Amino acid sequence: MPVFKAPFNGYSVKFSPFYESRLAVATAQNFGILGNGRIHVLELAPGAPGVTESVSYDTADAVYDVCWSESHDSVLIAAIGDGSVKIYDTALPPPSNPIRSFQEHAREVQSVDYNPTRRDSFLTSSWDDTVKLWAMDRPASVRTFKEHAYCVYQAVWNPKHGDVFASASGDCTLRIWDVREPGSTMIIPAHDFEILSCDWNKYDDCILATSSVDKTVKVWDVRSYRVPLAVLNGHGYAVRKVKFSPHRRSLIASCSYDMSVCLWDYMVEDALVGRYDHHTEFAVGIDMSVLVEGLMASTGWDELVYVWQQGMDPRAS
Amino acid sequence: MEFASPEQRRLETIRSHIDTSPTNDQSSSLFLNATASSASPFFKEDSYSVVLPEKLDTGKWNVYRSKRSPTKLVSRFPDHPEIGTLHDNFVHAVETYAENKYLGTRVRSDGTIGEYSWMTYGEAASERQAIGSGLLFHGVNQGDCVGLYFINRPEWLVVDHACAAYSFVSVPLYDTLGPDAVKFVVNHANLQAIFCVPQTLNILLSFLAEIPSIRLIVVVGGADEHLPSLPRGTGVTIVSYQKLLSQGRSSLHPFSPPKPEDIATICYTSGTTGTPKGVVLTHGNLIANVAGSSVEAEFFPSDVYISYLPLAHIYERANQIMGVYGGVAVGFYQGDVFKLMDDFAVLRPTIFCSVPRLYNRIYDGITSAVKSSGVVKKRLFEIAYNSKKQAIINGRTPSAFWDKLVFNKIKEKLGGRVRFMGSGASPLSPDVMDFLRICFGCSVREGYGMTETSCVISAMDDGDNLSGHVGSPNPACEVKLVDVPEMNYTSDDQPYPRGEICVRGPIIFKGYYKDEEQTREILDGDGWLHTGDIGLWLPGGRLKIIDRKKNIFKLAQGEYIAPEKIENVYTKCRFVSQCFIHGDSFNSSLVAIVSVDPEVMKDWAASEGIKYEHLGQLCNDPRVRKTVLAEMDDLGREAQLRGFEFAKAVTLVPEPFTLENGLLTPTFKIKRPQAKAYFAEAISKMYAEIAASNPIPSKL
Repeated sequence: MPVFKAPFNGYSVKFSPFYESRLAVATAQNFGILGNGRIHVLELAPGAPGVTESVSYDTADAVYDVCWSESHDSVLIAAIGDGSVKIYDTALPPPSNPIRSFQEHAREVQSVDYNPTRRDSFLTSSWDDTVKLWAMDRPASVRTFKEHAYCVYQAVWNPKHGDVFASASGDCTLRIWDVREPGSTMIIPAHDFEILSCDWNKYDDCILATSSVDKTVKVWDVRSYRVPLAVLNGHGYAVRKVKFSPHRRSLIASCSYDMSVCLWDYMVEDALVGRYDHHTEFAVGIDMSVLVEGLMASTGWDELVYVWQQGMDPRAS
Repeated sequence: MEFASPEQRRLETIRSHIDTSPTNDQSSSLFLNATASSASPFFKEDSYSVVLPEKLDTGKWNVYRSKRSPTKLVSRFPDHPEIGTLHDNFVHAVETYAENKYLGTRVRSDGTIGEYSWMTYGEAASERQAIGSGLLFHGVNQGDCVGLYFINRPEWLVVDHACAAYSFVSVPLYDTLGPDAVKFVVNHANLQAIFCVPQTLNILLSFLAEIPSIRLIVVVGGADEHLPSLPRGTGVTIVSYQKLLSQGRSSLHPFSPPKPEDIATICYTSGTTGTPKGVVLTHGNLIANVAGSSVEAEFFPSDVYISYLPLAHIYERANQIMGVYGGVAVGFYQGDVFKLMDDFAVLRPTIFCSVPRLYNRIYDGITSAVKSSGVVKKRLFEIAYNSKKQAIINGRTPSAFWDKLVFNKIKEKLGGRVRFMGSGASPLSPDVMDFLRICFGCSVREGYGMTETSCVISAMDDGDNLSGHVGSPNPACEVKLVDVPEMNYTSDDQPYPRGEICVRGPIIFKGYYKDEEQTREILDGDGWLHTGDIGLWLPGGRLKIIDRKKNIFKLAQGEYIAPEKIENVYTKCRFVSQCFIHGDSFNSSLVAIVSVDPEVMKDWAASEGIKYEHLGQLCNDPRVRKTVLAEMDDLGREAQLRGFEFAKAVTLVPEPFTLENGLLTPTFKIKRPQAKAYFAEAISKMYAEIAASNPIPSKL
């Protein structure tokens, strides 16, 4: 299976929604503590085990997250440690990039998510405790959502409703927002420890998953959020990212500081259906391809990016 | 939370992801029963020792014991009280761990270096039977002394076990000993047989006629055809180790096991002056010491130990006995300390016992590597170091995050598996100890002991994070401090009682071989051994070494210094009217404070055309200091001082040392502690100068 060795530590990996063989990877020097960052755009060679880098962009600070535009196949957006948000167009020559840079967040930007239904806007979340809404055609952010009391590690659009999103924070709450409303519409105290990630179910717009420092992944139904639908135990350390499958209703992928990537079916009793131990350092980035069923990607502090088919060994080539 | 810098904020944020996770460890819900311990008269909260009265009638509570065995001194392993001798200990190991790796070497028979190849406990056992039988074959009798005159390698331990199994007395000789010392030891102990290597064989042959007791020389690592043949009539046989093995195998004898009270070994210590002294240790002495230590620090069959400290030293010897008890695999270094790091990388030991000199080198190597690693890496290291240090000081479990980020790479330098570091033989500076604890993330413990006590007198307890002391008494002995009025050390001293460290218990040696007079000097009628070290009791019953009773001290590299002798040499210098030589175990060189002769100084300055306003100014002139030191050096060479006995820097003072300024005794001897305090600033300045002119090596 394809493996890419980056010069820096991996932080995030995302499949292109337009090309099944294209990925973007966010990386940072010195574990993202101090130093530069780099964004890699990778191409999987069809039918061969190789990965080639088509382009890369250097940044002055760590890149913590990256996402692809849903409207332009060559555009991607990066969340940078210095509080900036940068937009790149891979169709343009490198000197023209980044095509935009927004310096609004006061602290590290930890996540970026493109609106999949309206396809004209995106969200960023930051350690300055805010979430910001941006439109591609505006020179500054459209709106700032400031309610969380600590770092917001992730903000994700609802897959069906173009105005609804969820945010996961170190203040131990998950919040649901509607951009038409003045404040959050729902506050779920989902974990007793910091919440590091969240994602919406792609088949049921009321179901969410959260992951936390408490080593668990929890699945929630916003219609009855007093108790979780499921609590998934199995990681040995904080769970850094959680992601719902775009193809199977009850399948969840997660990655953790315990260096493993896990696959869960939250509907069945023995929920842990797969565990991958291919990373040798913290596993912090994961994605599942929308275009190819079962194709997964992960990255971590071991500077490696793996792409593999579910059920196979990521290390087997 | 506010942080000084973004990188600190990032580190803290990620660290909190890892460290604040709920723990799966249920043991935290178990608490010690506080009532039980406070109800006992022996125990105090947070104490490592218990205090008992020395004599019931006088009622003075001044004897300290380990709280781990307050009512009875340990003399046998608590789990295996049937082990009374080194032979029993090895038999126990062979029965329990027969198939386990025991002795490993990476030196191949052709002298090249490769991977470690191992001998199991079972194989070592049959080899030691053959060696013992071979010695009997050559007429060595039970109770005879057998010398070991070569550096650490598997055969050393096999021979030592053979001695234990057949009741020979092993007499180790440092491979660095010169011909005169070897000659003395061989004759003094009346050695019948001696094991050597080709290099040390040549030394032996150079004075063969002067060591008539020797009947058998066994050459380890030498081929028979290359061995010299001796003229008939010398009565000495030279055989190779291999030949002795095969001779033994063809005439195997049953063991003749020793009794616990039998002599196991005679260890010759160099001493400060005069001839070596033979420390007589019984099997019971050694077993007691190791059994006591094992109560606090256990070795396991999964452990790998690196052997590089001389086996002739009691510290390494005791560790080996402990290793056998635990079924440890012992890998030997290739024989070159400068390649030790390479051996570490291949062996990947879990236990590392060493001396401050090597730890200081590791410290210097890492700090200078960090300094030259660039701003970013240096900054990361500093943040990680300080955070982990704070966690340890505050009694919290330090974050695994710092290890992952910074320290695991450093740990890899020692193979990555070290879980226990021991330090002994001279004091480890607290800075270096903290540094080792932080960088290697393992238990780092300092011990204190001497050959006369079969090794450990006291050692740091597990989980004691205070550095700068040598811990609580070995459960196999009791310790008291005796007033030394002439040096102003008493049990009434505030804040902590002070005095000469005295030790009693089953670990105390039988005496110096054939030297009752010296034995009586150190061992009193009540069985107390007077160490000559001055200690104080820190809170919690932990011992701290602060001085030597005699005016003798050790330098960092372990050399003993008798300052009066050196002062007498230097006062012959024309500029010097009085001289105070200072040195301590944290520095490897001596410095001098010299009270100058004003007349000589004036005349000399006039002849050199040096202008000055007052004598003090002249004393501070670097040209003057240089000239005086050069003349002192000349006198030192004339008097044949050894290299480390030379003062490496000098401070000149215009005023004399007198009774009035408190620097002299009524008999006109220098009051050393007072002089040290009086000139503290000048002394530290001189060491700074020495350090500045000798940059530390940048590589390990």
